[in-house]
Amino acid sequence: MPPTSALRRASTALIAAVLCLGAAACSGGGGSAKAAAKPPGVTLSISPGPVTVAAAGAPGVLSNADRDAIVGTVRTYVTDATIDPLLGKRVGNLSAVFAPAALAGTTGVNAAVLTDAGMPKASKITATAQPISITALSDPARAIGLVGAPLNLQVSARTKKGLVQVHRVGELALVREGGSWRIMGFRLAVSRAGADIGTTVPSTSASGGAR
Amino acid sequence: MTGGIRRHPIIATAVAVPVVCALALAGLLAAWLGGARLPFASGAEWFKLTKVASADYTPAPDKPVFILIIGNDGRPGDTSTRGDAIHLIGVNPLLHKATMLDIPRDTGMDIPGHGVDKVNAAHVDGGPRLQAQTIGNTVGVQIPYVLDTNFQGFVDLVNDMGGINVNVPTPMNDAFSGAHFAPGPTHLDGNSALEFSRDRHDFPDGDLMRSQNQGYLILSALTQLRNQNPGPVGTIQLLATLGRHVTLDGIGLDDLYVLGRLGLSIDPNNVRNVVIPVEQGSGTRLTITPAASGLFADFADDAVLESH
Repeated sequence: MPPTSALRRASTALIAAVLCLGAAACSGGGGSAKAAAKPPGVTLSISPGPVTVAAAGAPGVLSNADRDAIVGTVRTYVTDATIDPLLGKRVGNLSAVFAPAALAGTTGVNAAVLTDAGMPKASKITATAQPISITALSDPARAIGLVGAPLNLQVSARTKKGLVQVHRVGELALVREGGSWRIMGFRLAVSRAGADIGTTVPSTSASGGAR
Repeated sequence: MTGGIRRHPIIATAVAVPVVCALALAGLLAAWLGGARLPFASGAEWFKLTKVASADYTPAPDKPVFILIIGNDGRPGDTSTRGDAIHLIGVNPLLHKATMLDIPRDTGMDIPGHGVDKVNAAHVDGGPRLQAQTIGNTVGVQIPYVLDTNFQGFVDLVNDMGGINVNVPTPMNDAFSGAHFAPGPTHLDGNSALEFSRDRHDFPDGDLMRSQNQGYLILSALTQLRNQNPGPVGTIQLLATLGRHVTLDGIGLDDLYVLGRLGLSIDPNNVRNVVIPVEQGSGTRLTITPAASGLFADFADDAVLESH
Protein backbone atom coordinates (compact mmCIF):
# COMPACT_ATOMS: atom_id res chain seq x y z
CA MET A 1 0.00 0.00 0.00
CA PRO A 2 1.43 3.41 -0.85
CA PRO A 3 2.00 5.80 1.98
CA THR A 4 -0.89 7.93 0.81
CA SER A 5 -3.28 5.02 1.36
CA ALA A 6 -2.05 4.51 4.89
CA LEU A 7 -2.41 8.18 5.53
CA ARG A 8 -5.91 8.18 4.03
CA ARG A 9 -6.93 5.23 6.16
CA ALA A 10 -5.52 6.84 9.28
CA SER A 11 -7.22 10.11 8.48
CA THR A 12 -10.52 8.33 7.95
CA ALA A 13 -10.22 6.66 11.33
CA LEU A 14 -9.37 9.94 12.99
CA ILE A 15 -12.36 11.67 11.41
CA ALA A 16 -14.59 8.78 12.41
CA ALA A 17 -13.30 9.01 15.94
CA VAL A 18 -13.93 12.74 16.07
CA LEU A 19 -17.40 12.22 14.63
CA CYS A 20 -18.08 9.55 17.22
CA LEU A 21 -16.83 11.89 19.88
CA GLY A 22 -19.06 14.66 18.66
CA ALA A 23 -22.04 12.36 18.32
CA ALA A 24 -21.50 11.00 21.76
CA ALA A 25 -21.19 14.50 23.18
CA CYS A 26 -24.38 15.59 21.42
CA SER A 27 -26.18 12.49 22.52
CA GLY A 28 -25.00 13.06 26.08
CA GLY A 29 -26.32 16.59 26.10
CA GLY A 30 -29.62 15.47 24.71
CA GLY A 31 -29.75 12.71 27.29
CA SER A 32 -29.39 15.21 30.11
CA ALA A 33 -32.23 17.27 28.77
CA LYS A 34 -34.39 14.19 28.53
CA ALA A 35 -33.46 13.08 32.00
CA ALA A 36 -34.73 16.36 33.34
CA ALA A 37 -38.01 15.87 31.59
CA LYS A 38 -38.41 12.18 32.29
CA PRO A 39 -39.09 10.70 35.71
CA PRO A 40 -35.81 9.38 37.03
CA GLY A 41 -35.34 5.65 37.24
CA VAL A 42 -36.44 4.27 40.59
CA THR A 43 -36.44 0.59 41.41
CA LEU A 44 -37.91 -0.34 44.77
CA SER A 45 -38.03 -4.00 45.78
CA ILE A 46 -39.76 -4.85 49.04
CA SER A 47 -41.58 -8.13 49.43
CA PRO A 48 -43.07 -10.12 52.30
CA GLY A 49 -41.05 -12.81 54.01
CA PRO A 50 -42.10 -15.53 56.44
CA VAL A 51 -44.63 -14.85 59.18
CA THR A 52 -44.08 -16.16 62.72
CA VAL A 53 -46.70 -15.94 65.44
CA ALA A 54 -45.44 -15.43 68.99
CA ALA A 55 -48.43 -16.57 71.01
CA ALA A 56 -49.45 -15.91 74.58
CA GLY A 57 -51.94 -18.76 74.27
CA ALA A 58 -53.56 -20.50 71.36
CA PRO A 59 -51.94 -18.78 68.39
CA GLY A 60 -53.88 -16.41 66.20
CA VAL A 61 -53.38 -16.07 62.48
CA LEU A 62 -52.04 -13.07 60.63
CA SER A 63 -54.05 -12.82 57.46
CA ASN A 64 -52.42 -12.31 54.09
CA ALA A 65 -54.21 -8.99 53.90
CA ASP A 66 -52.58 -7.88 57.14
CA ARG A 67 -49.22 -9.18 56.00
CA ASP A 68 -49.50 -7.23 52.77
CA ALA A 69 -50.66 -4.14 54.63
CA ILE A 70 -47.65 -4.34 56.94
CA VAL A 71 -45.27 -4.67 54.02
CA GLY A 72 -47.14 -1.83 52.32
CA THR A 73 -46.51 0.40 55.30
CA VAL A 74 -42.81 -0.43 55.19
CA ARG A 75 -42.79 0.30 51.46
CA THR A 76 -44.47 3.65 52.01
CA TYR A 77 -42.01 4.47 54.75
CA VAL A 78 -39.05 3.72 52.48
CA THR A 79 -40.59 5.80 49.71
CA ASP A 80 -41.28 8.74 52.00
CA ALA A 81 -38.04 8.59 53.95
CA THR A 82 -35.51 7.55 51.34
CA ILE A 83 -36.74 7.65 47.77
CA ASP A 84 -38.40 11.05 47.90
CA PRO A 85 -35.40 12.86 49.44
CA LEU A 86 -33.05 11.25 46.95
CA LEU A 87 -35.28 12.52 44.18
CA GLY A 88 -34.85 16.02 45.54
CA LYS A 89 -38.26 16.12 47.16
CA ARG A 90 -39.06 16.73 50.79
CA VAL A 91 -39.48 13.78 53.12
CA GLY A 92 -42.96 12.38 52.63
CA ASN A 93 -45.79 12.55 55.12
CA LEU A 94 -44.53 10.35 57.94
CA SER A 95 -47.76 10.76 59.87
CA ALA A 96 -49.29 8.39 57.37
CA VAL A 97 -46.95 5.58 58.36
CA PHE A 98 -46.08 6.33 61.99
CA ALA A 99 -48.56 5.97 64.83
CA PRO A 100 -49.44 9.32 66.40
CA ALA A 101 -47.71 8.33 69.62
CA ALA A 102 -44.50 7.61 67.73
CA LEU A 103 -44.39 10.77 65.64
CA ALA A 104 -42.38 12.56 68.31
CA GLY A 105 -39.66 10.03 67.70
CA THR A 106 -39.32 10.96 64.05
CA THR A 107 -37.90 14.39 64.73
CA GLY A 108 -34.64 15.78 66.03
CA VAL A 109 -31.60 13.56 65.87
CA ASN A 110 -33.77 10.54 65.06
CA ALA A 111 -34.73 12.14 61.75
CA ALA A 112 -31.19 11.69 60.46
CA VAL A 113 -31.49 7.97 61.14
CA LEU A 114 -35.03 7.50 59.89
CA THR A 115 -34.82 9.56 56.74
CA ASP A 116 -32.34 10.49 54.04
CA ALA A 117 -33.20 14.18 53.98
CA GLY A 118 -30.25 16.25 52.85
CA MET A 119 -28.75 13.59 50.63
CA PRO A 120 -27.68 14.74 47.17
CA LYS A 121 -30.27 14.48 44.43
CA ALA A 122 -30.03 11.27 42.46
CA SER A 123 -30.93 10.43 38.90
CA LYS A 124 -31.16 6.70 39.33
CA ILE A 125 -32.15 4.89 42.52
CA THR A 126 -32.21 1.21 43.31
CA ALA A 127 -33.59 0.22 46.72
CA THR A 128 -33.76 -3.42 47.68
CA ALA A 129 -34.91 -4.81 51.01
CA GLN A 130 -34.52 -8.34 52.21
CA PRO A 131 -37.96 -9.97 52.38
CA ILE A 132 -39.81 -8.56 55.38
CA SER A 133 -40.18 -11.36 57.90
CA ILE A 134 -42.90 -10.65 60.44
CA THR A 135 -43.20 -11.73 64.07
CA ALA A 136 -46.76 -11.23 65.23
CA LEU A 137 -47.79 -11.06 68.88
CA SER A 138 -50.92 -13.09 69.45
CA ASP A 139 -52.67 -12.35 72.76
CA PRO A 140 -54.58 -14.92 74.85
CA ALA A 141 -57.71 -14.12 72.84
CA ARG A 142 -55.74 -14.89 69.64
CA ALA A 143 -55.96 -11.29 68.53
CA ILE A 144 -52.99 -9.79 66.74
CA GLY A 145 -52.43 -6.07 67.08
CA LEU A 146 -48.65 -5.77 67.26
CA VAL A 147 -45.90 -7.10 65.02
CA GLY A 148 -42.18 -6.78 64.74
CA ALA A 149 -40.39 -6.66 61.41
CA PRO A 150 -36.69 -6.52 60.63
CA LEU A 151 -35.65 -4.05 57.95
CA ASN A 152 -32.52 -4.55 55.91
CA LEU A 153 -32.51 -2.05 53.07
CA GLN A 154 -29.74 -1.39 50.57
CA VAL A 155 -30.03 1.74 48.47
CA SER A 156 -27.80 2.68 45.60
CA ALA A 157 -28.27 6.10 44.05
CA ARG A 158 -26.40 7.81 41.25
CA THR A 159 -25.83 11.50 41.84
CA LYS A 160 -23.86 14.12 39.97
CA LYS A 161 -20.90 13.52 42.24
CA GLY A 162 -21.00 9.78 41.90
CA LEU A 163 -22.55 6.78 43.53
CA VAL A 164 -24.17 7.09 46.97
CA GLN A 165 -25.06 4.05 48.99
CA VAL A 166 -27.36 3.84 51.99
CA HIS A 167 -27.74 0.80 54.20
CA ARG A 168 -30.53 0.95 56.76
CA VAL A 169 -30.86 -2.03 59.06
CA GLY A 170 -32.76 -2.78 62.24
CA GLU A 171 -36.25 -3.58 63.40
CA LEU A 172 -39.63 -1.92 63.34
CA ALA A 173 -42.61 -2.41 65.62
CA LEU A 174 -45.98 -1.86 63.97
CA VAL A 175 -49.41 -1.63 65.52
CA ARG A 176 -52.82 -2.08 64.05
CA GLU A 177 -54.66 1.22 63.91
CA GLY A 178 -58.11 0.84 62.50
CA GLY A 179 -57.69 -0.86 59.18
CA SER A 180 -54.04 -0.02 58.75
CA TRP A 181 -50.68 -0.78 60.31
CA ARG A 182 -48.40 1.95 61.53
CA ILE A 183 -44.89 2.09 62.90
CA MET A 184 -44.90 2.71 66.64
CA GLY A 185 -41.29 1.99 67.49
CA PHE A 186 -37.97 1.29 65.88
CA ARG A 187 -34.38 0.35 66.41
CA LEU A 188 -32.47 1.33 63.31
CA ALA A 189 -28.94 2.02 62.21
CA VAL A 190 -28.02 3.70 58.96
CA SER A 191 -24.74 3.97 57.15
CA ARG A 192 -24.18 6.15 54.14
CA ALA A 193 -21.24 6.09 51.82
CA GLY A 194 -20.27 8.02 48.75
CA ALA A 195 -19.24 11.38 47.54
CA ASP A 196 -20.68 14.63 48.83
CA ILE A 197 -22.57 13.33 51.85
CA GLY A 198 -20.25 14.83 54.44
CA THR A 199 -21.76 18.26 54.71
CA THR A 200 -25.38 17.34 54.36
CA VAL A 201 -26.00 14.34 56.58
CA PRO A 202 -25.08 14.58 60.24
CA SER A 203 -23.66 11.63 62.06
CA THR A 204 -25.83 10.94 65.08
CA SER A 205 -26.63 8.34 67.62
CA ALA A 206 -29.96 8.69 69.25
CA SER A 207 -32.24 6.95 71.64
CA GLY A 208 -35.42 8.43 72.91
CA GLY A 209 -38.55 7.51 74.75
CA ALA A 210 -38.36 3.94 75.85
CA ARG A 211 -35.66 2.11 74.07
CA MET B 1 1.77 -3.85 0.48
CA THR B 2 3.49 -3.08 3.71
CA GLY B 3 6.58 -1.89 1.99
CA GLY B 4 5.42 1.72 2.16
CA ILE B 5 5.10 1.63 5.92
CA ARG B 6 8.41 -0.01 6.27
CA ARG B 7 9.79 2.71 4.14
CA HIS B 8 8.12 5.46 6.26
CA PRO B 9 8.08 4.25 9.93
CA ILE B 10 8.19 7.78 11.31
CA ILE B 11 5.13 8.83 9.35
CA ALA B 12 3.24 5.70 10.38
CA THR B 13 4.03 6.24 14.05
CA ALA B 14 3.18 9.91 13.84
CA VAL B 15 -0.25 9.02 12.52
CA ALA B 16 -0.98 5.97 14.64
CA VAL B 17 -0.25 7.50 18.05
CA PRO B 18 -2.76 10.36 17.78
CA VAL B 19 -5.33 8.01 16.28
CA VAL B 20 -5.04 5.55 19.14
CA CYS B 21 -5.12 8.36 21.68
CA ALA B 22 -8.17 9.92 20.05
CA LEU B 23 -9.98 6.60 19.95
CA ALA B 24 -9.16 5.90 23.57
CA LEU B 25 -10.33 9.36 24.59
CA ALA B 26 -13.52 8.97 22.58
CA GLY B 27 -14.19 5.61 24.16
CA LEU B 28 -13.68 6.96 27.65
CA LEU B 29 -15.89 9.96 26.99
CA ALA B 30 -18.60 7.81 25.46
CA ALA B 31 -18.44 5.49 28.45
CA TRP B 32 -18.66 8.48 30.80
CA LEU B 33 -21.67 9.85 28.99
CA GLY B 34 -23.16 6.40 28.95
CA GLY B 35 -23.14 6.30 32.70
CA ALA B 36 -19.94 4.54 33.65
CA ARG B 37 -17.79 6.29 36.23
CA LEU B 38 -14.09 6.29 36.77
CA PRO B 39 -12.90 5.14 40.15
CA PHE B 40 -12.37 8.62 41.52
CA ALA B 41 -16.04 9.43 41.00
CA SER B 42 -17.64 6.12 41.82
CA GLY B 43 -17.13 5.94 45.53
CA ALA B 44 -13.85 4.11 45.39
CA GLU B 45 -12.29 3.54 48.75
CA TRP B 46 -9.93 6.48 48.74
CA PHE B 47 -12.76 8.94 48.26
CA LYS B 48 -15.42 7.05 50.18
CA LEU B 49 -17.05 8.83 53.08
CA THR B 50 -19.16 6.76 55.43
CA LYS B 51 -21.58 8.10 57.98
CA VAL B 52 -23.19 5.87 60.56
CA ALA B 53 -26.04 6.73 62.88
CA SER B 54 -28.49 4.78 65.00
CA ALA B 55 -31.70 5.35 66.90
CA ASP B 56 -33.89 3.34 69.22
CA TYR B 57 -37.31 4.68 70.00
CA THR B 58 -40.55 3.58 71.55
CA PRO B 59 -43.10 6.06 72.87
CA ALA B 60 -42.92 6.25 76.64
CA PRO B 61 -45.43 7.49 79.20
CA ASP B 62 -44.82 11.08 80.20
CA LYS B 63 -45.39 10.50 83.91
CA PRO B 64 -44.53 7.83 86.48
CA VAL B 65 -46.13 4.43 86.05
CA PHE B 66 -46.98 2.02 88.87
CA ILE B 67 -47.26 -1.71 88.32
CA LEU B 68 -48.08 -4.38 90.88
CA ILE B 69 -46.49 -7.80 90.49
CA ILE B 70 -48.15 -10.61 92.42
CA GLY B 71 -47.14 -14.20 92.93
CA ASN B 72 -50.14 -16.04 94.29
CA ASP B 73 -50.21 -19.40 96.01
CA GLY B 74 -52.59 -20.94 93.54
CA ARG B 75 -52.21 -24.56 92.57
CA PRO B 76 -54.18 -26.43 89.94
CA GLY B 77 -57.81 -26.61 91.02
CA ASP B 78 -57.65 -23.78 93.52
CA THR B 79 -60.51 -21.34 93.29
CA SER B 80 -59.32 -18.97 95.99
CA THR B 81 -55.73 -17.81 96.13
CA ARG B 82 -53.69 -15.49 98.30
CA GLY B 83 -51.32 -12.99 96.76
CA ASP B 84 -48.18 -13.80 98.74
CA ALA B 85 -45.28 -12.34 96.76
CA ILE B 86 -46.09 -8.66 96.39
CA HIS B 87 -43.94 -6.06 94.65
CA LEU B 88 -45.01 -2.57 93.70
CA ILE B 89 -42.81 -1.14 90.96
CA GLY B 90 -42.77 2.55 90.18
CA VAL B 91 -41.05 3.66 86.99
CA ASN B 92 -40.08 7.21 86.17
CA PRO B 93 -39.72 7.31 82.37
CA LEU B 94 -38.18 10.76 82.30
CA LEU B 95 -35.49 10.04 84.87
CA HIS B 96 -35.01 6.46 83.69
CA LYS B 97 -35.14 5.33 87.29
CA ALA B 98 -37.39 2.97 89.17
CA THR B 99 -38.18 1.75 92.66
CA MET B 100 -39.49 -1.60 93.77
CA LEU B 101 -41.30 -1.73 97.09
CA ASP B 102 -41.31 -5.26 98.48
CA ILE B 103 -44.39 -5.84 100.60
CA PRO B 104 -44.36 -8.75 103.06
CA ARG B 105 -47.51 -10.81 102.69
CA ASP B 106 -48.41 -10.57 106.38
CA THR B 107 -48.49 -6.79 106.36
CA GLY B 108 -51.76 -5.51 107.77
CA MET B 109 -53.67 -3.15 105.51
CA ASP B 110 -57.18 -1.81 105.26
CA ILE B 111 -58.83 -3.87 102.54
CA PRO B 112 -61.73 -1.88 101.03
CA GLY B 113 -64.99 -3.50 102.05
CA HIS B 114 -63.29 -6.06 104.28
CA GLY B 115 -61.50 -4.15 107.02
CA VAL B 116 -57.92 -4.55 108.22
CA ASP B 117 -56.35 -7.88 107.40
CA LYS B 118 -53.14 -9.30 106.01
CA VAL B 119 -52.56 -7.83 102.58
CA ASN B 120 -52.42 -11.25 100.93
CA ALA B 121 -56.04 -11.79 101.93
CA ALA B 122 -57.12 -9.01 99.57
CA HIS B 123 -56.41 -11.40 96.72
CA VAL B 124 -58.88 -13.87 98.23
CA ASP B 125 -61.45 -11.16 98.80
CA GLY B 126 -61.38 -9.53 95.40
CA GLY B 127 -58.56 -10.86 93.27
CA PRO B 128 -55.54 -8.93 92.03
CA ARG B 129 -57.57 -5.79 91.39
CA LEU B 130 -58.66 -5.46 95.02
CA GLN B 131 -55.14 -6.24 96.19
CA ALA B 132 -53.85 -3.44 93.96
CA GLN B 133 -56.48 -1.07 95.30
CA THR B 134 -55.57 -1.97 98.88
CA ILE B 135 -51.88 -1.36 98.31
CA GLY B 136 -52.48 1.75 96.23
CA ASN B 137 -54.56 3.27 99.02
CA THR B 138 -51.87 2.47 101.58
CA VAL B 139 -48.92 3.77 99.58
CA GLY B 140 -50.78 6.70 98.03
CA VAL B 141 -50.58 5.87 94.32
CA GLN B 142 -52.92 4.71 91.60
CA ILE B 143 -51.96 1.25 90.37
CA PRO B 144 -53.47 0.77 86.93
CA TYR B 145 -51.55 -2.35 85.96
CA VAL B 146 -51.27 -5.72 87.67
CA LEU B 147 -49.31 -8.81 86.64
CA ASP B 148 -50.42 -11.89 88.54
CA THR B 149 -49.05 -15.42 88.37
CA ASN B 150 -49.25 -18.63 90.38
CA PHE B 151 -46.70 -21.26 91.34
CA GLN B 152 -46.80 -23.16 88.08
CA GLY B 153 -46.93 -19.99 85.99
CA PHE B 154 -43.85 -18.69 87.77
CA VAL B 155 -41.95 -21.95 87.27
CA ASP B 156 -42.86 -22.12 83.59
CA LEU B 157 -42.06 -18.46 83.04
CA VAL B 158 -38.58 -18.84 84.47
CA ASN B 159 -37.99 -22.01 82.47
CA ASP B 160 -39.14 -20.35 79.25
CA MET B 161 -36.70 -17.55 79.97
CA GLY B 162 -33.93 -20.09 80.18
CA GLY B 163 -33.53 -19.67 83.92
CA ILE B 164 -32.23 -16.79 86.01
CA ASN B 165 -28.69 -16.17 87.20
CA VAL B 166 -28.39 -14.95 90.78
CA ASN B 167 -25.66 -14.51 93.32
CA VAL B 168 -26.84 -16.35 96.44
CA PRO B 169 -25.76 -14.13 99.37
CA THR B 170 -25.81 -16.62 102.24
CA PRO B 171 -26.20 -20.40 102.59
CA MET B 172 -29.80 -21.49 102.13
CA ASN B 173 -30.93 -24.84 103.51
CA ASP B 174 -34.64 -24.86 104.09
CA ALA B 175 -36.66 -28.06 104.02
CA PHE B 176 -39.97 -26.17 103.85
CA SER B 177 -39.24 -24.33 100.63
CA GLY B 178 -36.76 -26.88 99.31
CA ALA B 179 -34.09 -24.19 98.97
CA HIS B 180 -30.59 -25.65 99.20
CA PHE B 181 -28.07 -23.24 97.76
CA ALA B 182 -24.45 -22.47 98.51
CA PRO B 183 -23.38 -18.84 98.41
CA GLY B 184 -22.16 -17.56 95.06
CA PRO B 185 -23.27 -17.36 91.45
CA THR B 186 -26.08 -19.81 90.79
CA HIS B 187 -28.26 -20.56 87.80
CA LEU B 188 -31.84 -21.13 88.84
CA ASP B 189 -34.36 -23.01 86.76
CA GLY B 190 -38.06 -22.56 87.39
CA ASN B 191 -38.34 -24.90 90.36
CA SER B 192 -35.17 -23.71 92.07
CA ALA B 193 -36.19 -20.08 91.48
CA LEU B 194 -39.45 -20.84 93.27
CA GLU B 195 -37.54 -22.44 96.14
CA PHE B 196 -35.17 -19.48 96.33
CA SER B 197 -38.05 -17.02 96.44
CA ARG B 198 -40.03 -18.94 99.07
CA ASP B 199 -37.29 -19.50 101.63
CA ARG B 200 -37.87 -17.58 104.86
CA HIS B 201 -36.63 -19.99 107.50
CA ASP B 202 -32.96 -19.34 106.83
CA PHE B 203 -33.19 -15.72 107.94
CA PRO B 204 -33.77 -14.08 111.31
CA ASP B 205 -36.19 -11.60 109.75
CA GLY B 206 -37.72 -14.36 107.65
CA ASP B 207 -40.58 -12.77 105.77
CA LEU B 208 -38.72 -9.52 105.16
CA MET B 209 -35.64 -11.22 103.76
CA ARG B 210 -37.81 -13.47 101.63
CA SER B 211 -39.58 -10.45 100.23
CA GLN B 212 -36.25 -8.77 99.52
CA ASN B 213 -34.95 -11.90 97.79
CA GLN B 214 -38.02 -11.98 95.58
CA GLY B 215 -37.29 -8.41 94.56
CA TYR B 216 -33.68 -9.35 93.92
CA LEU B 217 -34.84 -12.22 91.72
CA ILE B 218 -37.03 -9.87 89.67
CA LEU B 219 -34.13 -7.46 89.23
CA SER B 220 -31.80 -10.30 88.26
CA ALA B 221 -34.29 -11.36 85.59
CA LEU B 222 -34.51 -7.77 84.34
CA THR B 223 -30.72 -7.52 84.22
CA GLN B 224 -30.50 -10.76 82.28
CA LEU B 225 -33.12 -9.70 79.76
CA ARG B 226 -31.52 -6.31 79.36
CA ASN B 227 -28.14 -7.86 78.70
CA GLN B 228 -29.71 -9.81 75.86
CA ASN B 229 -30.51 -6.41 74.36
CA PRO B 230 -33.71 -7.43 72.60
CA GLY B 231 -35.07 -5.21 69.87
CA PRO B 232 -38.72 -4.90 68.93
CA VAL B 233 -38.92 -8.50 67.68
CA GLY B 234 -37.20 -9.91 70.76
CA THR B 235 -39.45 -7.85 73.00
CA ILE B 236 -42.52 -9.25 71.28
CA GLN B 237 -41.25 -12.77 71.87
CA LEU B 238 -40.67 -11.97 75.55
CA LEU B 239 -44.19 -10.59 75.84
CA ALA B 240 -45.63 -13.76 74.36
CA THR B 241 -43.72 -15.77 76.95
CA LEU B 242 -44.96 -13.50 79.71
CA GLY B 243 -48.51 -13.68 78.43
CA ARG B 244 -48.50 -17.48 78.53
CA HIS B 245 -47.81 -17.55 82.26
CA VAL B 246 -49.05 -14.29 83.71
CA THR B 247 -52.52 -12.81 83.99
CA LEU B 248 -52.64 -9.15 83.04
CA ASP B 249 -55.06 -6.75 84.66
CA GLY B 250 -55.58 -3.26 83.31
CA ILE B 251 -53.30 -3.68 80.33
CA GLY B 252 -53.08 -5.74 77.17
CA LEU B 253 -49.96 -7.28 75.69
CA ASP B 254 -49.84 -4.66 72.96
CA ASP B 255 -49.78 -1.84 75.49
CA LEU B 256 -47.38 -3.77 77.67
CA TYR B 257 -44.92 -3.53 74.78
CA VAL B 258 -44.39 0.13 75.61
CA LEU B 259 -43.82 -0.60 79.29
CA GLY B 260 -41.59 -3.54 78.40
CA ARG B 261 -39.37 -1.40 76.21
CA LEU B 262 -39.31 1.20 78.96
CA GLY B 263 -38.30 -1.39 81.53
CA LEU B 264 -35.57 -2.76 79.31
CA SER B 265 -34.21 0.74 78.83
CA ILE B 266 -33.59 1.27 82.54
CA ASP B 267 -30.23 0.37 84.00
CA PRO B 268 -30.87 -2.06 86.88
CA ASN B 269 -28.39 0.03 88.88
CA ASN B 270 -31.03 2.76 88.74
CA VAL B 271 -33.65 0.53 90.36
CA ARG B 272 -33.94 0.57 94.14
CA ASN B 273 -35.20 -2.59 95.85
CA VAL B 274 -36.69 -1.69 99.23
CA VAL B 275 -38.73 -3.68 101.73
CA ILE B 276 -41.36 -1.46 103.28
CA PRO B 277 -40.73 -0.79 106.98
CA VAL B 278 -42.85 -3.09 109.14
CA GLU B 279 -42.74 -4.41 112.67
CA GLN B 280 -44.39 -7.24 114.53
CA GLY B 281 -48.03 -6.49 115.15
CA SER B 282 -50.81 -8.48 116.72
CA GLY B 283 -50.64 -12.21 116.14
CA THR B 284 -48.80 -13.06 112.98
CA ARG B 285 -49.66 -9.76 111.36
CA LEU B 286 -47.02 -7.17 110.57
CA THR B 287 -47.71 -3.50 111.14
CA ILE B 288 -46.43 -0.72 108.92
CA THR B 289 -44.21 1.54 111.01
CA PRO B 290 -44.76 5.30 111.22
CA ALA B 291 -41.53 5.77 109.26
CA ALA B 292 -43.25 4.29 106.25
CA SER B 293 -45.31 7.39 105.62
CA GLY B 294 -42.24 9.36 104.56
CA LEU B 295 -41.05 6.52 102.36
CA PHE B 296 -44.44 6.22 100.69
CA ALA B 297 -44.62 9.96 100.05
CA ASP B 298 -41.11 9.93 98.61
CA PHE B 299 -42.09 7.04 96.36
CA ALA B 300 -45.51 8.31 95.33
CA ASP B 301 -44.46 11.71 94.00
CA ASP B 302 -42.22 10.47 91.17
CA ALA B 303 -41.56 6.74 91.73
CA VAL B 304 -38.00 7.57 92.78
CA LEU B 305 -36.68 7.52 96.35
CA GLU B 306 -34.70 10.71 96.79
CA SER B 307 -34.47 10.78 100.57
CA HIS B 308 -34.72 7.12 101.56
